[in-house]
Amino acid sequence: MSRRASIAARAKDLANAQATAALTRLGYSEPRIRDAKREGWWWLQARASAAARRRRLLAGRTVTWTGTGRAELVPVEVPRAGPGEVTIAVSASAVSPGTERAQYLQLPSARISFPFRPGYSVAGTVIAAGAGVSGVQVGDCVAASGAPHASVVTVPVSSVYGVPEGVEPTEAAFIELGIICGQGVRVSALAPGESVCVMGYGLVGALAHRIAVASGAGETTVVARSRRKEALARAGGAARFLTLDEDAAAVAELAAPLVVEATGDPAAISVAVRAAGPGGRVVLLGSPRGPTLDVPVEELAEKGVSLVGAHVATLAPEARSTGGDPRRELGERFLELLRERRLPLSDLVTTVVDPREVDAFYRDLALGGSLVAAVFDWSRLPDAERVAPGRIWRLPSLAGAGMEYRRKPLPPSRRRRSLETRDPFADASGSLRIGLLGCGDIAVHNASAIAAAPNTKLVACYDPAAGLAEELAGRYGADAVSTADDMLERGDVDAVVLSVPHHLHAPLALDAIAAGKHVVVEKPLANTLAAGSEMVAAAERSGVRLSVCFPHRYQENVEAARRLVELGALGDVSGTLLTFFADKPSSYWLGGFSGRSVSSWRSSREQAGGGVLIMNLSHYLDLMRYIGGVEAATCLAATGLVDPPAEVEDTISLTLRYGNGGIGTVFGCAALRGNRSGLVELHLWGRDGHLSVEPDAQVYTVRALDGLRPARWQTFATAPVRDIRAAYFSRFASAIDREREPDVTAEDGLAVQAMIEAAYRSSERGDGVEVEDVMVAAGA
Amino acid sequence: MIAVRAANGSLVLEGGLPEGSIAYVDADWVPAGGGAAPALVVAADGAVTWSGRPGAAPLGALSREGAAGLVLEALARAAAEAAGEVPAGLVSVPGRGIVARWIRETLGTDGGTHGRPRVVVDTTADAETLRSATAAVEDLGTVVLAAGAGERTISFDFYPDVHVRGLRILGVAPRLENVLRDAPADAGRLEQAVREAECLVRDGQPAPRGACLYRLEP
Repeated sequence: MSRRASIAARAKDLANAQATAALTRLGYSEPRIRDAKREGWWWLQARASAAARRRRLLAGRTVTWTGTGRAELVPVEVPRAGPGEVTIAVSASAVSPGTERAQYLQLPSARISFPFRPGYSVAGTVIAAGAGVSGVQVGDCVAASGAPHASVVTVPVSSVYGVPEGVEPTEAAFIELGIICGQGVRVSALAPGESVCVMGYGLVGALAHRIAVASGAGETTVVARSRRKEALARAGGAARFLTLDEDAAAVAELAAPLVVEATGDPAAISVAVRAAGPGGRVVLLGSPRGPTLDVPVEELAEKGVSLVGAHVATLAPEARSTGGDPRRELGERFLELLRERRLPLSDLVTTVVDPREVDAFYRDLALGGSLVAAVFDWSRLPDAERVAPGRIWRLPSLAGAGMEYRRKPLPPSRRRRSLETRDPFADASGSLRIGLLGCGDIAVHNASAIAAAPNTKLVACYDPAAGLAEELAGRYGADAVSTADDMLERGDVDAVVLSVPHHLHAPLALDAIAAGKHVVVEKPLANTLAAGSEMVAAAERSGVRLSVCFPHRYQENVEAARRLVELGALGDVSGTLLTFFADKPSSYWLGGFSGRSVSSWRSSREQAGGGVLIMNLSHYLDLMRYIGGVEAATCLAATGLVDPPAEVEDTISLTLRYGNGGIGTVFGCAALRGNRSGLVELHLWGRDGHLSVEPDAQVYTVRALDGLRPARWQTFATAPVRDIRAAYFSRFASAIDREREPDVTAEDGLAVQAMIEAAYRSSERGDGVEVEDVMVAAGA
Repeated sequence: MIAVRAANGSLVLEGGLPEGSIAYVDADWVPAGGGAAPALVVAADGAVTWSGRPGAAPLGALSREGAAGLVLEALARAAAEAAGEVPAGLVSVPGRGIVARWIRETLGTDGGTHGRPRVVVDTTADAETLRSATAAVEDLGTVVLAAGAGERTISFDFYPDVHVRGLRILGVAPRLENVLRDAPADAGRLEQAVREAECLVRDGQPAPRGACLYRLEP
């Protein structure tokens, strides 16, 4: 290393270390430091390169690998074309699955340093041409080799090729692969009519095979690992298709005069030597990284076989020594074959990728599979993101707001995105007359909500403590009645709402159902699954509606989260996480929730049915089902009691196995000091994304969905502001009016009750319990 | 194949040859660290085998040295032909065995080159030597593999040099039956050359260093 280079390297290291230290002091964590430094460096590079050319900047998007297995679509700026350059608005960029997969996975001999901008070549429209450029003008459709996956690129005109009419950009974008494979056929010195064996039918193998056919090859044989791509090979002109496993003997007896090794697998070189005939040539085209363990040297010598390297890099020394331009000749030949329709390509391009889904694409690519060729379709980006004027005086965005969820201490994004959600009152209908059975703590909220809903009316109240009923009735213009039977006998009561201790849900609900009243029970459905099951069966027999009050479903963030799952932001839900922390004082267990109605039923196992799980977490068990569309199949739980006043659990750890194979974790503690107001976290995730529903409604998805920016954490809904209980009662009333099932059905309540029952049985047994088993045992 | 093992700083050749057989082993075929080496074996009845594969014919009028000379010289000639029309100053033949020596004589080179060679002739079939050869040859150059390898396979990474730099690896080997059938009139010259070059080694005894051809006897 020269002294100057050494000084530059040390200066760069120093600047890097200083930047890291400064960002660390600001509270940046490692991934955000990396993002911020990358953005800062690119910002500087773009301006330096624009200044050197005295050209303005253009802004677009580019695919970037920010770390091993991390692919992102990030903003990029490029200078407009300077002398000898061309700027292209890219329509399509070609993916070379083999090489890009190897680099993405950091396979041997494919090591790269991050950040890395993958890509081979692009096709699009010229939007600027610098001085001295001839043969290409603004508006031309061109292909460019050596360009990364980006919506806008500025490249030397020497790498630009005019695309003939009739050739699609999605085909022309493969110009670099066309040159690579054309070089393979070229160095093979293919004679007209000569038989060719192509090993491997990935993109390189397929292109090399088809170029060889178009170049006058005789009978061609394709050898592959499996028969998956036989149809493609046959369509490309293969007379024979052999597999390594099934046809090993036939491969060894091929005696091919020319073998093109295009698998990229070093082991295939030995097979290629064996497949070659006396004096045969084996062209190494597939970038076989790593050692071939058993090169049959004797066979190679005995047959007089020659192995020929055909990397595209060899075109440069050849051009230097001959003064020609073999690369351009190959590129133009490729495009000409496309124009003449002698090189079929469209059937190989099996995947067209929205660049916003880059993360999902590379994850799929890493799995291998049947993908032959793919293109990024840049026309799918909004125009403003694809190519826009850059601002030279713009400050660098060092927020580093990439993939990391924990972005504090920086403030959250101001760009809140609220998905369209339904207005719960928009289609309110009917006028449901409601009687309130139980006028204690939660009844206050229910009465208020009934009064607030546009299609419900509180007409009667009952509570054994007559004063409570009179107080609520007076507040909302209802009648206070003396007994529950009086309430049920009234003809002006269409439905009753039970706001009573859990063990009273079943008997009161059964009476109400018998009296022909629709029933709403404050959650949970009942204190036991058997009791709940009896309620559901009775309602079904009587034809009345039974619903459990789970009003959290009407929170804006919950509705938006459900919509995101429906849109595919997560893929199949594969995991859920719920934590609930509160610090319930002794008065809660011994006196009551608010002191309005003094009672200790919440601390009784028999009356309450359980502790924090049934009392608090039942809301969220319902939300996990509602948002994620998942049903628990197995529960494994452990319960604990930290605070002695209660006999029910105040702590629970619950693991759920969902019917779709997903896993959920629930942890709740109602005796966690320092959490008087309660703290809830609710997350759901799948292969394609992650939702944080509580406490901050944020989403990260690798899918391109309207209104969302892929691969970025973003707020998707504001905190709930509306009266969710009023929404619940209004929707229930509309359902009665329209003779349809309420949003929260009796079966929903029963499903939550079954999870609770299974969890408690599991804790008692110390083993997992099938939800289906407890349902059967309870007669549900 | 001949077994080669290191013992007290020397290499010991062990052929397990039948009575009356003689093995000829080019010095470049002997792995420096021990292992298996190919050999040209002439049996008592005159049958010639090379690297375990039987040759065609009984010797007829040829002596054992004459037969060995014919085969080794054919190998050297094939290698020289494979080097093509490249000027002698651009061909490197780094081996120290008799085949390498004859290739140099055929090409009229002393084996060295000024700068990177366009062609390197490897007479060892050893992975490490082949690696050196591919690293040394210029871009788009050729490495001629002119060695008896027997059933030996090697481990080799073709990516960094052969694939990326567009090299050609060309294997050459004379066909025994053709060589012995078409014995040239000057076989006596080859017989003489072998006699002068060969270094006698007893089976199981250390082989002297510096020889270019070993004659291994039981």
